[in-house]
Amino acid sequence: MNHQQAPINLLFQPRSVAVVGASAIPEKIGSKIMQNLVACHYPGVIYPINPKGGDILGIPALKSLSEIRGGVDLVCIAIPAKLCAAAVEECGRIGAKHLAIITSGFSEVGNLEEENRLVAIAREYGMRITGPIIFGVYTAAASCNASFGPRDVEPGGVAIITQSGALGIAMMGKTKTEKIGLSAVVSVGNKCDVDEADLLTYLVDDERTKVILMYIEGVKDGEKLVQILPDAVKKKPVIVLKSGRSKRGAMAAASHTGSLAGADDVFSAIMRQCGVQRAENLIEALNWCKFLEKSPLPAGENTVILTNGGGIGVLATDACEKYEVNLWDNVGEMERIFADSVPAFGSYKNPVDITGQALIQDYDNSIAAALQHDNVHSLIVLGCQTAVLDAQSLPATINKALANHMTKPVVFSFFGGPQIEDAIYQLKGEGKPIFYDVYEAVACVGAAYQVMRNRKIDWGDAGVIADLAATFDRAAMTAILDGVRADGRRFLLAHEAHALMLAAGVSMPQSIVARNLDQAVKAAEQIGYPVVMKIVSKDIIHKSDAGGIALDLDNKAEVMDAFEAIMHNCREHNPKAALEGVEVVEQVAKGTETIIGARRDGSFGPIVMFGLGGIYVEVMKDVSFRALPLSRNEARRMVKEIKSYPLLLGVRGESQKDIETLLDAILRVGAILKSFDEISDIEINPLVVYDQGMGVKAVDARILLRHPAKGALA
Amino acid sequence: MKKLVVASTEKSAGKTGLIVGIAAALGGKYGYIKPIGDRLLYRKKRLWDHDAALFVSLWKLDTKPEDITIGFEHAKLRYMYDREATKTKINEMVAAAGAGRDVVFIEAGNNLAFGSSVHLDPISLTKYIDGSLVLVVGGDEGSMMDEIHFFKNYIDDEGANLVGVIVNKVRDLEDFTRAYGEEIEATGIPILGIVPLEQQLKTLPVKFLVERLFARVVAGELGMDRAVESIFLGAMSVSAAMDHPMFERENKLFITSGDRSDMILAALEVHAACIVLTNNLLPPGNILSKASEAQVPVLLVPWDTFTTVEKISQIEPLLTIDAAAKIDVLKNLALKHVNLEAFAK
Repeated sequence: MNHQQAPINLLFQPRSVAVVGASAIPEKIGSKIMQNLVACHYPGVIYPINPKGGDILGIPALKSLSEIRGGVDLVCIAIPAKLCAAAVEECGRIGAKHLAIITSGFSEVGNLEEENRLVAIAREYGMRITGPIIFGVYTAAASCNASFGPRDVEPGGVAIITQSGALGIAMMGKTKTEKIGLSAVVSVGNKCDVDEADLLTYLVDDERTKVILMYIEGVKDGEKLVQILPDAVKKKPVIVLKSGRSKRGAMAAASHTGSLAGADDVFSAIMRQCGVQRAENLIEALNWCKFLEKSPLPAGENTVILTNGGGIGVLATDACEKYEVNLWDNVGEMERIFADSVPAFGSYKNPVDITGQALIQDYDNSIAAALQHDNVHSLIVLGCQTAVLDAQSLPATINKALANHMTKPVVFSFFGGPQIEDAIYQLKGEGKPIFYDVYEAVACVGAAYQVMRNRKIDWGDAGVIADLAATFDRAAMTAILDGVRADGRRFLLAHEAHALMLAAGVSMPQSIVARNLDQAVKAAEQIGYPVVMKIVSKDIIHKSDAGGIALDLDNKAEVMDAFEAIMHNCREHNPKAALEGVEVVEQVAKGTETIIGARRDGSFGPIVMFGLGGIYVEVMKDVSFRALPLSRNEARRMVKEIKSYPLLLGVRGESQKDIETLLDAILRVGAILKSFDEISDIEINPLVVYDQGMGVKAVDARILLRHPAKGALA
Repeated sequence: MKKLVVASTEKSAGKTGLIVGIAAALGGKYGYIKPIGDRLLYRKKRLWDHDAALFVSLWKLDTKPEDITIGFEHAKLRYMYDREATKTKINEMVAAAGAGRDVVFIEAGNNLAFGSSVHLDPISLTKYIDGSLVLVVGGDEGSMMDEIHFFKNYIDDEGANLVGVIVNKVRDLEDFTRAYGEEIEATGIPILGIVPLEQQLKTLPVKFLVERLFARVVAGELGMDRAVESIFLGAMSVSAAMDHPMFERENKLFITSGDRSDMILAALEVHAACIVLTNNLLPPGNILSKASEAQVPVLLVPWDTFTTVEKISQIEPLLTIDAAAKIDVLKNLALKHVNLEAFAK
C-alpha cells in the first residue's frame, strides 16, 4: 500500500536523525556523521544504529532500526550497497520519512537496477530518498549537520545544493574562509528521488535562505525544474554552476534543431529563461552568493565607477559591458556631485577619475557624495596603489562607507603591493565586498542587476500554449500521424507535414499533390504562378540531392519541363524509389528567413528554438532556445535574443517585420510538440517573415516521430 | 541530304561515340537531333540532353540543345503529342537540323522498343522522315549475335530502310571476326564495321564525377582534370590493401570513409587519381593539405561506402566537349574499322 509522500520540510527540519552504520571508529563515515551531529549541538533525537550496540560518543547505539519507536524523520544510511535495500525496507517499517543514502555503488557504477529497487521500496512507504552517493545534509534551521563534511559550519543565508560530494564538502570549507554563512547544504548525488526542484520548493519559502546556489552536473527532470525556477527567482536569487561544457554531443542531424541544440547551450538558455544566473566558475559563484546575501538590490540602472587610475577604470568599463552593468552618463550631474572631490585635471565622465593624487580623504568624500545621491544606484570603487594613498586607512574608509550607506550595492577593488593586499585580506575576512580583481567586483554588481531585472520581468501567461492547442484541428492531425505510423515511417512526407501545420494554424503556402503531369499543370494553374515543384516519395528524404525540387516556375511549359526533370532525376537517383507524384506549391515571396524548431531535450523535455534561418543556419548558429511552457512575453524575449533581431525591426530603410505573427508561429510549434507525444522533432526552415501586418509563411516543414519501440527520442 | 537514324539494341552501345567518330573521320557538315532524351540536364529551368549539348558545341550547330530533344519522360510526351503531331514535329526538327548539312544523324532511344508507346521508336522515326536505319550492337558476344539475328527478323517484318549494323565494343576483334564473321554475313545484314573496345573511352574525368555525385570538393581542386580508370574500395586494413593487386594500378579512384586517415595517406602515397570520402566525414586538416599539395582531388559524399560504390559504378563515362583525346580515339576507330562510305552524303 502506498503511503502519502513525506513532506520535504522534514528533510530540513528533522526532529530525529538515525545513522545506520554509526561507528565509534573515528575514521569511519558513520563516525564522522555522528561527530558532526554532536558537535553542531543538534537538539533532536539521535539514533546511532550499529549491530554491535554499545555507546557512540556518549549516545547508546541501537542494534537495529526496529528498536526505534515513534518513527524517525531522517535516516542517514552509511552501510555497504548490498545491505541498503534491507535497511530501506526496515526504515519503511518503522515509519521513517527521509533517507539520506551516503553509500556509493549504484547507478554511478551501472547498478541502476538496485538503485531503482531502493526507490520502489521507499515509494511504497511514502519515504523520500536523497542520494545515493552523497555526503549528507546540513540544515541551520534544525542545527543539524548530518554529514561527513566540515564540522563547524557558520549558519547564515546561503543554501547550497550540490551534485558533487567532494566539491560540496570543499565549498562548505571555502564558505567558512569567505565568511559566507549557510542556511542549508544538501548533497543530491545520483538524484534517484529527491532532486533540485524538490529542494527548491522548501528553500524558496525558507526565511533563513537568502540566496540559493546549485552545483549541477546533469539535469534529470528538467521539466519539473523549469516549472519551479521562475517562481523561485522572484523571491530570492538562484545561482547555478554547471560543469560539462564539453563539445556538442553527436546529436542526430535529422534536424537543424538537433544539431544546433548543444546540451550546454540549451542549459544556459533555459537558465536565462528562468531567471537563474549561471556563474562561470566556483569563485564567481561564491562571490555572487556572498554579495547577494548581504547587498541591497539597485533601485535603478545608474552605476558610477570611482577610480584613481584611468587604466583600471577602463578595465572596469569593459567589465561593465560584459556583465551588463549600465554606466550613468549624465556628466553634468556627476560634475555637481563630485565637484568637491575631483581635482581640476580629473574627469567627471564615468568612470569618475579622482586621479592618482587622490588621498584617502578624497575617497571618503567622493564615496559619500555618490552614496548620498539618489540618482546613483550602485557604485564601483577602484584604486591603484600610489605614493600618496594611505592603504592602511583603506579598511576604515570602506567600513565607514558600508556602515553609513547600506541602501545601494557597492563594491571595491584595489590593486597594489603588500599594504593594499593586507587591507583587502582584512576586509575580506570581515566579509566586505572587496576584490583583488576588478572583473570579480563588477560581476557581483552585474549579478545584483540581473536579480533586480528578473524581478521586474512580466513572465506572461504560460497558458497560451494550451489555449493555442485548443484551436487545432486535432482529429485531422491525429489522422495524419496515424497514417504515417501505419506506413511504418517516422517522418512525415512534405504534403503530410504541410497538412498538419495547416491544421495547427501555421500559415503554409498553398500546395496540391499531383499524381501525373496533367494534374500538375492543373494544380499550377489553380494555385497561380510562380510555383515550386517537389517530388513526393517516401524513399527520397533529401529532395535537393536527388534533383527533386524545381523553383520559380512561371508558366505551363516550365511546369511540364520541371515535372519531367524531377521524375527523371529521382528515378536515376534511386531506381527503386516509389515516386508517388509531385507537390505543386505556391512560391513564397521573399522576406526575412527565420527558423523555428522544436524537439524533446533529454534533460528539459520539449524545447523550442528560434533563429536566423535558411540554408546557412548551421554556419551562422544565430539561435535561441526556450523550454516549454512558454508565454508570449518569453517568446518575444527569445526573438529579441538573437543577434539578427535588428533585421526584424527593419534595417536600411526596410519596414519592421510582422513580429506578432512570428510569435504566434513559435507558440503554435511549441503547442504542436506539447500536444502530440509521438512527435520528436519539428522544424520550419525557412519561416519567411513579411512586413508588419503581412504575416509569415512556413516554406518547408519537417516533422519526425519518436521511435515506437523505444517510446523515446528519435 | 542523307537522314540516318542511329539505333541500338541496348543502352550504352556506343551510338553517340560512333556518330562523333564517323563525322570526325569523314569531315563535312552534319546535323543532329535526339528526339527522346535520356541524359537529362536541368539547370535554371532549362532542360536539355547531355549529348545534344555535346553536338551543338562540337559541330557548332546553330540551335539550342533544348530544341534538339522533344522530351525525356513518356508521361510528358504522351501529354503533348499524338502520332501525327510527333511525325510533324520530327520532320520539322530534321529539316531545321539538316539545313545546309550533308547528313543528319537522328539518335534513337536505348533499344528498339524504347519510345514505341509515344511514337518515337527507331522504326517509326525512320519511316517519318523517309530515312535509313543504322543499328549499333554492343555487349557480350553471345547477346550481340542474338541481337543481330533478332534485328534481321524485325527489320524484314517492319520494312524499314536499313543501311547496316555496326558491332561495337568488341573485346577481341580477331577472335570475334573468326568466330562470327561468316554467320553475320549469312544473315544478309550489311556489316558496316566491327569496332574494338577501347579502354581509354571508359575513363571518368574527376570533374564529371563531382557533378554526377553532387560531391563537395574539399581538397586538390587543381587536379580536377585527372581521369579515373578503375575503383579501389579502401574498406580493409592498409596492410591488406597494399597486398591487393589493384592497389598500385594507375589512375584509380579510392573510396574510403573520411575517418580512415591511414587509408587516405596510403592512397596519396600510390598517386591515386582521386579520393572519395564517404559518410560526410572529414579527415584532419593536415591530411587534406597533403592531398592539395599532391593535387589529388578529395571529394566528400554523404552516403555510406557501399552506396557510394553503387552510385559510381552506375555512372556512364559520357563524352564531353573538352575530351579532345577521346574524340581523336573515336575518329581513329571509325577510320580503321567502319565502312565510312555508307555514311557519306
